[in-house]
Amino acid sequence: MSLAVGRAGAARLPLGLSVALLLIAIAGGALFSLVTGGRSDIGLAAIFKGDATSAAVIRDIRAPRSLAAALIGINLGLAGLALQAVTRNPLASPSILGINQGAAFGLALALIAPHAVPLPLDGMAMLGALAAGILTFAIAGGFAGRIDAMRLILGGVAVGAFSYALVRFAYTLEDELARSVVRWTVGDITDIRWPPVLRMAFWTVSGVIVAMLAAHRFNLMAMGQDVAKSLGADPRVTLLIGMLLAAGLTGAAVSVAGPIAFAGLIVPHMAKLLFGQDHRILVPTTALLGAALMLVADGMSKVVSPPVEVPVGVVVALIGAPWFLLQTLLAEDLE
Amino acid sequence: MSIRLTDIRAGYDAFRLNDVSVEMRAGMITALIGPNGCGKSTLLKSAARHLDPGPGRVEIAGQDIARIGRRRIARIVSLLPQHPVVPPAISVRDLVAYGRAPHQNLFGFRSAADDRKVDEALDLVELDILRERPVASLSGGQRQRAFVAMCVAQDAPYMLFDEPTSSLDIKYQYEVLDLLRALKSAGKTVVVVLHDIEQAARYADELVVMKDGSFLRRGAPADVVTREMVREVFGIEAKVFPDPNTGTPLISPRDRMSDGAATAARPGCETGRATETVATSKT
Repeated sequence: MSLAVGRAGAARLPLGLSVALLLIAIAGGALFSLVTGGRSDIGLAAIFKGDATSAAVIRDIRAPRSLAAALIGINLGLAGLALQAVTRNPLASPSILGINQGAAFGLALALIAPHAVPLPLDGMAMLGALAAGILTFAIAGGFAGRIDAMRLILGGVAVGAFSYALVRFAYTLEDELARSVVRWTVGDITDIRWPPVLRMAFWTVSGVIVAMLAAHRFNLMAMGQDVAKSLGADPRVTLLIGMLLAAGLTGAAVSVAGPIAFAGLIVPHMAKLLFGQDHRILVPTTALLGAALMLVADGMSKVVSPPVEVPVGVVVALIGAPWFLLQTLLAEDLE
Repeated sequence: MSIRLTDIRAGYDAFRLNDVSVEMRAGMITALIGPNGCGKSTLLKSAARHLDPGPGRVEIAGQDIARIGRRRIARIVSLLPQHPVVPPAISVRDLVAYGRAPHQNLFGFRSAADDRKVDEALDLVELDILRERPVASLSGGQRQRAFVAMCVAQDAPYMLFDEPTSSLDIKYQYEVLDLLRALKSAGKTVVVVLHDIEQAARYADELVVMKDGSFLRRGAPADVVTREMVREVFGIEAKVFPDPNTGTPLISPRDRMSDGAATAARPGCETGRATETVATSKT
């Protein structure tokens, strides 16, 4: 089960060049995401001409949306990275372990019965993500100290399917309610405004800090539970940190954009291909790569079939699935 | 200054140690021997608190290790598990450097002192010229030496090894055993689980014999490895005689005569339980 990428000794780009390319990708993605939109006549140039409408569109509609896309990319990428590290399973990601769907279920609950649940939308999404993650890890045997790779994936698929079935059940409820559940869970960031984006930015920044602090623990975990323990890092603590991190980041992303699949799976793999296996480097680079991917996807979602927008989650899957397949086929030792 | 285990009842659902009490003396190589499933690995793991000793106590150099945190334990005692995982795409040097983790800050950045310890460890196992190579590209013997070097870099005074020679060719088995002897000369206390009684007798100062989860006997190899012990513990009738080279006991099973190659009648190339080798070995 090892999707071997970034082998030591294999030809890899120098670190400086890779980082430079990454920054260019982010800048390009941000620009792409900002200049595209429903009104094709509005570009960045319009701002400098002092056109008030254009400036308002960019400031109030496009900028929060672009930032939201970038933050979602960071969250999902880091969540996937953390899950892959603590489970030592290359297939681990928020959607495959059911965490994405658990978050959507928590969100749906908050929408259906806002007075019966203890937390606001993003809190409920995180709670749902956490519950799904705990369930999947318990099925895989993680809390007894040994994660079974097959049971992890099977458990995740089952938990995910069950949670999402409950979300879809909400679609059959009264029309008004069903519409809001659909709108929140389909993976769409078209009409997002500043307040939720800023709230999400808080979670993203917190998550990046925690991930940086845990990066070396993640490295030790790659040595296996036994060696990690001998080296003084209790694997159960690492597992707990990874799961809380993944649940928090995924919940925050899902509460803004619904469950977007694939980003959490492929972004860490892309980062490992470019930057190797050291999590102290992978945490920041995965975050940047996730942001770049989502910005490009957001831009593309607006230009693929104008004037209709394709939900950004669909674009991510359209980019991600072929890429993942390619990497799988090219991996030297897929066992 | 020893490892003193008292009433250890560690184990799993199906198997528990029967209140094992034993001491492993400082500055020596102690080998744990016994048939498969007798609990020697379980005892070793409890000594490093990888397993909960139940109501028992583990004291290392007079200190009860139940009272101290995992990082501090890791500075006192290292344990090389039986089939360590090789992480993908890691170089020999980086692997050995992980041994410094218990001495480093949260981020694990290496200090000059860390680099020195890593270099020393690489020199000791003679892997300094392969330091940039991926661990996955090494031979079995080199790979095991790299893991020993990781433990050396960890620089704990008490070093435990769980069947470090298993699944190695005979040449590399002796290479690893010679390394353990070098560690003892460097002042370390070494405790090792070994499958091969003759190798254990040859390299250890003291043997600890276990059977069915219980401690049976402890003592110098020549005193412990006797005809009676081999019959009682391993269930074979054998002649025991001193090795012409070393004087340590050799075992020649009686009833399966095949032109002198008597040792071939041993249980064979048993590799033990591989619980955590999730296919990362060939990356």
